[in-house]
Amino acid sequence: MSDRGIQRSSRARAIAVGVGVAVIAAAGFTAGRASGPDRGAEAVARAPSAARRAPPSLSAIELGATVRVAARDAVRDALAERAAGSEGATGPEVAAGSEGAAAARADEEARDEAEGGPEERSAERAAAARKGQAVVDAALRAARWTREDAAALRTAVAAMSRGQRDDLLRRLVPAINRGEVTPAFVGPIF
Amino acid sequence: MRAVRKHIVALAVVAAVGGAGAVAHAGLKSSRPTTVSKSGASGWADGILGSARNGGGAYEYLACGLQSYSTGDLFGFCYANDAAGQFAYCYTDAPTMIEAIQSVSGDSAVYFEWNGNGECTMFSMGNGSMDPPKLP
Repeated sequence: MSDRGIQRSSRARAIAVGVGVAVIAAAGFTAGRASGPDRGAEAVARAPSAARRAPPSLSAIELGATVRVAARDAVRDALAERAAGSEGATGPEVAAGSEGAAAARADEEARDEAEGGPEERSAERAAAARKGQAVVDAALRAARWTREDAAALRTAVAAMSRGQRDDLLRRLVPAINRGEVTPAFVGPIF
Repeated sequence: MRAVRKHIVALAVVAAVGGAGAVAHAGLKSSRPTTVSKSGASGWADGILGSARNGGGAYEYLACGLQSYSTGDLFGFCYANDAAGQFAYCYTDAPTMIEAIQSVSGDSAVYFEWNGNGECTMFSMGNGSMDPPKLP
């Protein structure tokens, strides 16, 4: 073989080796991007759900898009978990309270319905409150609480709303306990 | 005749010894007057139902009870009057307190407190062997 032939052959071998090295390097880079611990992959590892389901080999653009989706999903999952947690901490009481209030409202409405509708019921309550008020006012003036007063108040209280009843009892009972009004009989004061 | 007399004496001795034994083995018996203590519109009351009835003065009494209405409202209440004629009353619609008031029996000891609105803020009851039963 001539010198020129030898030179040509060496150049061809060098090119072949170079191409081979380049191919191996490219393959290694691609594999490394797909499975290595680069920042994108760490983000995926931290992110739940969608990112963990990402295919093992992605281009940089695809990987970036996946990370964005994963981050969005992670935020959404975290918010959902926090909401679920806070619901677990206070949910039963709130739910029970709401159910209790709803049940009380339903009872009230059913009672109104059975007793002639809300307007009539409201008028009846107002009349009972006025009657009770008059009995208590008279007792406070007389400084004396009689058995008849007790009977009248008992009847009135039965028809009053809770708020009306509380307002009335908060005037009468403390006056009795302070000694400003004296019961004239033995027994419950209403 | 002498034999009969001996027999009677023997019976009397047995009865006396038996009686003394019964006294020696009786448990503690206690009694206390109904007390009403006020500070303005609030205060507390304490007493034993049996004591109030048996040994109290003419004014002394103590009671607890419940009132139920067709509206569904349920109240518990207690009231007391001490020997000096001081009267106190409290009411509650708190379910746990109502439950406790329900457990008062005829010979219970009772203690309760009330606030400036006349609402029961504390209720306590107990039944003890030392507490006297109500006599007719």
